[in-house]
Amino acid sequence: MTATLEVPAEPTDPVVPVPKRGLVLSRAWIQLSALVALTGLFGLVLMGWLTYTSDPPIPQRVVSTAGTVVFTGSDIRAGQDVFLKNGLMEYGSIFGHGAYLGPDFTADYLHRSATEVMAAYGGPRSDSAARRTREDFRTNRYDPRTHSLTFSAAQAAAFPVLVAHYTTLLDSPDGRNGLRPHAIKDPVQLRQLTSYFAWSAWAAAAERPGKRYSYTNNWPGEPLVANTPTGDVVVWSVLSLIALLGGTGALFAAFGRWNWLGWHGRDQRELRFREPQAVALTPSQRATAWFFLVMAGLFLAQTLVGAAAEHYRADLTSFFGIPLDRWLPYNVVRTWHVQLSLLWVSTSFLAAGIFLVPMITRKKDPKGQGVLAYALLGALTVVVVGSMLGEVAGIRGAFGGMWSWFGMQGFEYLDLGKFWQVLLTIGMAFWVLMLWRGLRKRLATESPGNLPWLFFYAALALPVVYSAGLLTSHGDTYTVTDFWRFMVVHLWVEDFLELFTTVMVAYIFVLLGVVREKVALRVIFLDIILYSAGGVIGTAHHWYFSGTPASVLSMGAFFSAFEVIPLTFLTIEAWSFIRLGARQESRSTTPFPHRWAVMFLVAVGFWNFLGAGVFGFLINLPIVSYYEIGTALTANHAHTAMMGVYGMLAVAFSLFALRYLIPKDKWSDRLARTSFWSLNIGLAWMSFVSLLPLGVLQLYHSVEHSYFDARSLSFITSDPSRLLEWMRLPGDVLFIGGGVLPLLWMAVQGVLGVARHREVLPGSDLQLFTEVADHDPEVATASGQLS
Amino acid sequence: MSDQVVVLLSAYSLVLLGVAQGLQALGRRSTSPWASRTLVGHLRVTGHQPQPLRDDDWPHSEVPSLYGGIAMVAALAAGALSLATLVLHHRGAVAALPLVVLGLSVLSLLRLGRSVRLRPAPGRQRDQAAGAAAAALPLEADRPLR
Ligand code: HEM
Ligand SMILES: [Fe+2]
Repeated sequence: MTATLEVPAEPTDPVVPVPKRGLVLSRAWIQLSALVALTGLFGLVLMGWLTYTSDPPIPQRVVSTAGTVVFTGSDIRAGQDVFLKNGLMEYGSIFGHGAYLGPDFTADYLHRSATEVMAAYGGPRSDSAARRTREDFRTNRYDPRTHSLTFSAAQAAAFPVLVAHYTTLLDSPDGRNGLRPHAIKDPVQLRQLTSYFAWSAWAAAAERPGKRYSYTNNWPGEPLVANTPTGDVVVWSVLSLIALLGGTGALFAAFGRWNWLGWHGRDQRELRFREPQAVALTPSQRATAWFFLVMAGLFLAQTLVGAAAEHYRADLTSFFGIPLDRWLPYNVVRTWHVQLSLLWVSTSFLAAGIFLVPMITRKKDPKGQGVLAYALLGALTVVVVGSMLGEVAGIRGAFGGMWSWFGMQGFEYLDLGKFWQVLLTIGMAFWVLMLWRGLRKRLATESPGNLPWLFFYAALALPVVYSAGLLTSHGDTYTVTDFWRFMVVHLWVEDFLELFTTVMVAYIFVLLGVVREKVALRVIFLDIILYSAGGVIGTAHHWYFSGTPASVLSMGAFFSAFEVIPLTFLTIEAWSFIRLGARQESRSTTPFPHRWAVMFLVAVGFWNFLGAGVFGFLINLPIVSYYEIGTALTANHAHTAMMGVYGMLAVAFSLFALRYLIPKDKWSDRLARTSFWSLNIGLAWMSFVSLLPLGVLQLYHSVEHSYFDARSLSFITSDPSRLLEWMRLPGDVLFIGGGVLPLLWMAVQGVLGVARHREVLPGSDLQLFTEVADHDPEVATASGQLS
Repeated sequence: MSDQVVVLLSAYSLVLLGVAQGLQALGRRSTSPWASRTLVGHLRVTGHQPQPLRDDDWPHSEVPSLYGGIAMVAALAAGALSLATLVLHHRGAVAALPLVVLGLSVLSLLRLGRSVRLRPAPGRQRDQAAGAAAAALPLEADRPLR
């Protein structure tokens, strides 16, 4: 018997209404997924409410005990604006969040002002001075009725000293600190900025009403004001560990007990993979060649500005004699580096979605789909260029009152102006609309719990969740802005992109004929359950110390531990996919065409485990985060997870599509292989030889001395740090030269080759494989119940 | 560079060497689907005797080289770090630490270099062992899978 059972029956005649195909999986999967997802969402809303009601207050005025006004609430708010629009969150950090070259301004103000206060009371050798300093900072003298906050005379006297200090730092005539010379000149703005830092430092040490710890759960550790880890920090670290162990054990037990996945695929069938060039391409698919070229170009740009940012860390004083800091100071190159990482990966994801639709429907494009694809790419390019130029211009003071719309909005990862952010969201929504046009007829024939719908939902979630980031507003308290910022930085990146990843990868394997639809669906639902169980509430692992109450810390610590479980599990899963692929190849008479795309998927699995799972969990316990937030260990995790998972995935997608777009005689397995090894070795080298050991040294320093010390320029420019920064150079060169450039070259070949590729002719076949025979009766029955 | 930093970096490099050995061991494990936990349930339910898989089939052939490759990066990183530490800090007794780690890194690299090329551990015998183990489990006939 020839098995065509698995391939969803296509309507032969579109005019005759076809009966809907029923649900492939049991309804219980959907119900369970919905239940878990809703619970997660409920937790998120609850934490949002806690954030809005328990954030540290911004007083209307801060007065000294003598009655004079030190600064006002509007100074604090204006100071936050100065901080954001000058891109200081891409230079140093606030409440531990931001870039890692400059100081953490919360810890910095706290330490410096406490030192001043202590000196005023008699210096470090006096016991009473130490006690009075602690009292000054820990006592919460905010009066909610009058909205006024009282500083001790010594605290008030420290303020102008700190204004002078930040003036020296930020108005430095010769730069040499990573910012451009005279970065901020206006004394009023410098004073406002200092007010903002002073307020954050106040929140970091003053005890919450009725509690024995500060608004930030006693972060940062600072002996001068007796900031030490709270009981919650310690207890929830232990419970988080237990949650991880228990959860992992449970999952593995379940694996042994039930055959959840039934990874046996089509393994008894004989497949014949179609020669890639024999697969016809639609106009929208051909348009993706340009997407992948743009992707590779942006990837190259990202690594180059990354190299410039790295140079600032290794050597602050000069860039081989070129005054780079005038036009491209550290905060600009870091902004671009961070923004481009999201942009090039997204470009690949958008293209992959467009590319896959005709393979799913096996139908020609709806009219004008190719033109829409080009329009989308054009719009994307406008957003990329416009937002990046806006960021430099904004940092240099352009746009006046509209700075947050067109210039530097300034929230790390949401640096682009709100106007560009809105455009990007609209672009993604437009993309979903395009997918809808392509899939519409097919969706009409499917139960909404089946694979084509899941593909559509996963795509739809991208603009929807990204748009939550639009609610970040520079006028809100930092604690509140961070709530919305992490809707993008965490929820979008870590949850919904993971879901999109799983759906795409699973679907590709189904289309290639190596995995049964039912198996793919189980993986997807299992993923939804596992990610929603940990990742949604786990967003709070970013909010331990940003001014939310201890209950948010405990929820974040406990639930984010579960995030690690699907990552370990996905590694196994990735191998299982590939194992099936291997069985196919040994049987198929035509070679499997996607070996390098699949190798990149293997890399995704590997880095999901190491970069996201291990290195993420390494910094995830509140007690670790307390000492390490915003240090090289964060950078270590961020790079190995972001590049390792989504970077490698974006490359995998591009190779998958380029395999069809590049003509046979121009395709080179060797280039793909070079790129694969260079990217992986380069990334591993960066982590092993530089970021990880640097992070270990910095963590040690932070525990041994203080967080302030570990983030100071004297640590960053110390001999061991400089050594470790320089040692990554060979890996970076390999990454860019051997990893990115070949990819760019292949993308060029794709664009050139697409002209030579044959068009879809009416009736031509878009299927990726043909089935020859089925010679195992047992599997035939197993698959027979599918239809 | 203080003694403390030298000790810390040497200890770190030593851990990296351990990671390298661990990765290599992981890469040597059979990647046959039938040797994996993922399929325990399947094996029990169907008792399906899988056909043995050749371990030089792609992509199984790539597994040792991927893990071995990353393991070599780890060992090389350990060597480079201890060499750099030694260059910056070669006086005093504590310099013996990076020296020892450097020696170990070289040994470990040599070992890895040999085994990564050799592509060890035939998965086939384990396949058969897994198949036999499955056959020994109580079977619930050919119940269709869900
Ligand atoms: C593919 C998945 C992941 C990606 C792409 C990713 C990416 C990132 C990035 C880019 C940052 C830096 C944010 C910043 O600098 O403000 C970060 C921070 C962090 N990640 Fe992940 N991550 C992933 C998974 C995980 C997992 C599974 C965990 C742990 C369970 C985790 C825990 C953390 C923590 C605690 C931080 C905060 C560190 C700090 O602010 O200093 N991440 N992640
Ligand atoms: Fe996160």
